[in-house]
Amino acid sequence: METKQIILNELPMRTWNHLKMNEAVLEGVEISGSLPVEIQVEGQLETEKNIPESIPGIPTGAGRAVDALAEESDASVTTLKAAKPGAKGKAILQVKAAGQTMNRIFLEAAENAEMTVYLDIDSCPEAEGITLLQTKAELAPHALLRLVQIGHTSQTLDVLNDIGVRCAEGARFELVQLYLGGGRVWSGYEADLLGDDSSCNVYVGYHLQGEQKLDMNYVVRHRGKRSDSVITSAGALSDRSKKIFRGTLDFIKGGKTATGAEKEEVLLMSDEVHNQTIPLILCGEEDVAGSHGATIGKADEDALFYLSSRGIGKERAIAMLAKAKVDSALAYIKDPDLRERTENVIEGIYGHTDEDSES
Amino acid sequence: MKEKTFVDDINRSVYDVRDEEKDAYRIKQGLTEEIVLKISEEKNDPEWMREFRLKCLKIYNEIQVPDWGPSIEGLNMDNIATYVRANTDMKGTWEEVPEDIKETFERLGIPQAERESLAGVGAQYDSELVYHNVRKEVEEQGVIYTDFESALTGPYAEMVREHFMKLVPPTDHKFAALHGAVWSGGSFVYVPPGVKVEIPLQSYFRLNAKGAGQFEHTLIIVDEGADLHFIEGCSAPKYNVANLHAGCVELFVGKNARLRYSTIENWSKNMYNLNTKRAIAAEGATVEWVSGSFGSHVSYLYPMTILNGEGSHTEFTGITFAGEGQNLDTGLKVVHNAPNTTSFVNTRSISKGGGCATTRSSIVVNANAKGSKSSVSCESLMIDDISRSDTIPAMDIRTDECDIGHEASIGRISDDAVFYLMSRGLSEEEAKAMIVSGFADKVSKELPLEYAVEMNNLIRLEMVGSIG
Repeated sequence: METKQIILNELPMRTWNHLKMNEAVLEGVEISGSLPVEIQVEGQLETEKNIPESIPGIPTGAGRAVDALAEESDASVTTLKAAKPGAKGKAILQVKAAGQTMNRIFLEAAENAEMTVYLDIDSCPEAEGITLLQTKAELAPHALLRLVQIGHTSQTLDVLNDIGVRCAEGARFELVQLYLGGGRVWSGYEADLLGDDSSCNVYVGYHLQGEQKLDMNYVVRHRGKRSDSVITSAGALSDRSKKIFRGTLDFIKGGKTATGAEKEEVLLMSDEVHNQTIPLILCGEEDVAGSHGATIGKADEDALFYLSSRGIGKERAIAMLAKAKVDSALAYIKDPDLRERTENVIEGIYGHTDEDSES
Repeated sequence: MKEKTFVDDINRSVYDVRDEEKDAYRIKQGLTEEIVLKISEEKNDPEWMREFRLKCLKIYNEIQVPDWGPSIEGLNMDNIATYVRANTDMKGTWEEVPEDIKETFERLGIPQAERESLAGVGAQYDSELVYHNVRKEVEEQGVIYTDFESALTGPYAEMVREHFMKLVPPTDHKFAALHGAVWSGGSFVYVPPGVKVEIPLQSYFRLNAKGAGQFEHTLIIVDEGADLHFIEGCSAPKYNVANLHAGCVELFVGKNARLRYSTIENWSKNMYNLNTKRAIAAEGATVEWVSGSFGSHVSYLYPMTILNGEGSHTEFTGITFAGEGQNLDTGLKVVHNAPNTTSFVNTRSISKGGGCATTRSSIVVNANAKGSKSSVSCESLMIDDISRSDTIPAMDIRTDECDIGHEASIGRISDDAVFYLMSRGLSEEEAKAMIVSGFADKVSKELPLEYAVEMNNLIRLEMVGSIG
């Protein structure tokens, strides 16, 4: 298949081009196959290989170019369903990523159903190229989907991780993402809060090191009345890493008394890092409340002083604060088993960071 | 029946009086090399300026219109006369100014303001200044405040040439290039080292001509340790065709100097306001922008400060009020380009009656700006459900040695705040009126009293019943 260039992670409303924040450009994309997905299912979930009818139309954060790529490359499909009203279940998906691959995951939850899905994206150390993953979810009234994604691939492998979710009345989507690996990572997310009282909550944690780059585009469309959303992005940048966070709360006319909040905390750990943040609030509805808050800077002097008073050297203290950003994600993972899995991945990367004094 | 709160449109009667365009010189519509050369000839440009204008025209023709921001499809340069000159030259006393033009400025309160609270005034009518005066005591301090054309050929000609469109190069964007090609009028200010101008200078820009453009250039140089407050006002009567304002403001603020630049912008609602304002601050300097945007059909307005010297500081306080038929895209830009620089930004926007207010900003902290701090706060208020309010703040940070905070909120009048005020004895109407007034108060308190009054007159919040 020929390589191509795609435009992705486009801001819903453009700004000055010289800032280079309006979109990302992905060059030389070539898909030659799909990865095997290892699936463990608990409870009342069903797996399929077909594409549910309603799902292709759901927009994602990365945008239509990724849909087109999936169609062209005939990327394989993994469908998980909580098909019966009130069904409950959990699935653990593991992917050993490799370059020039694309996979699609479709999740469907019936009325009042409750799904928990854990996706572990790893790779072998020598993996190269790019792996693309698209996840789309359709939530029926009052359904709940909890999705946990842990990415810890090799820094020689680029990753595109794209999500689109649509929530009917009273439905709720909870997403926890941790980016702990990958060379260049593009992360897209769009939630369409279509139904009244629907809601979504996203926590994305990251620690970028070396030459890593993370390019995010997170969009929530508030269409339903009383819909509610939170986007929290917290992470640390070390060495020569680079990150852009695009976050958009779009209050569409008719979505009365909707509420949305974006929060961002970025810990800057080197004078060669590059951080870009652009949090949009778009408002066509009068009766809403939207907010954004960002704190960007180096390690808090009070925290460093405290750690120093406990005998911990500055370098190690800063590393601990970076890991704390990643650890914060654990509080958002409600399932004890999944929390433990995540903790194990984190510890596997960082080792134990007990407050042992440095001699 | 419950009455709705009514947030009135700006009372424009004083601004909408049109003078007959008699005996005026009007260049033909459009933008061609011939027109640019004719303007240059009319203005007796020095050779370098004539060449510069032609270069700018070439750049204008090469640059695309922005692919972001409000639509400017309704603006057709083929229908715009870029130079209109009233049948008068510049006068030094109001008595000498032609009666109809003087009356217009009297209605706008400019001569009165000059008598009561200004150190100097420049009044531009269409493309040229018709009045310019500066108080003797200010002149004696060595302060130069003159029309731009005089500066271009006078004793400060070299200084003007050295600075003209250096901060806003014509390649910056399409309308900066347009400005460079057809600029006319404006002011030049030079404040010598250590001089503190105690009361403000003001330039007022009036565009009377239908289907015309105004392209004044303001160049202010505040030398080391000096201090100045400069006020800019503008208005135009409303016509049923597009008018264009593409002015340019360049501010050079020297070491440990301070410049406050206040604007009350009240163009008519057929105006495309594509203005560019930029300041550069040397070591320890302070640049303060106070900006009230009330008029125009479409606005692109983002005053920018480049903090180029160690310890320099900028503040931006702005309010935008977008009513029916208005799409106002306003905001600011700050570049931290030296260590220990600081910026403090506070914006408010109100949209009503189908108006669209967009707050757009960028804070850039370069790798050399170690120890810099920035705090940005943007608040937006929607008065009804037919309007729009968007916030697009960008931050680009390239050093770890900095502290950047940003907060933005959007919403309606808080029921809790209304309830609290009512529990203290206010009626619902009074409570809501107080909240909306308070929302704008952070800007008006930054203005000199008489301008704060003008701003409140512009907003004219008439509250009866409940908002919604």
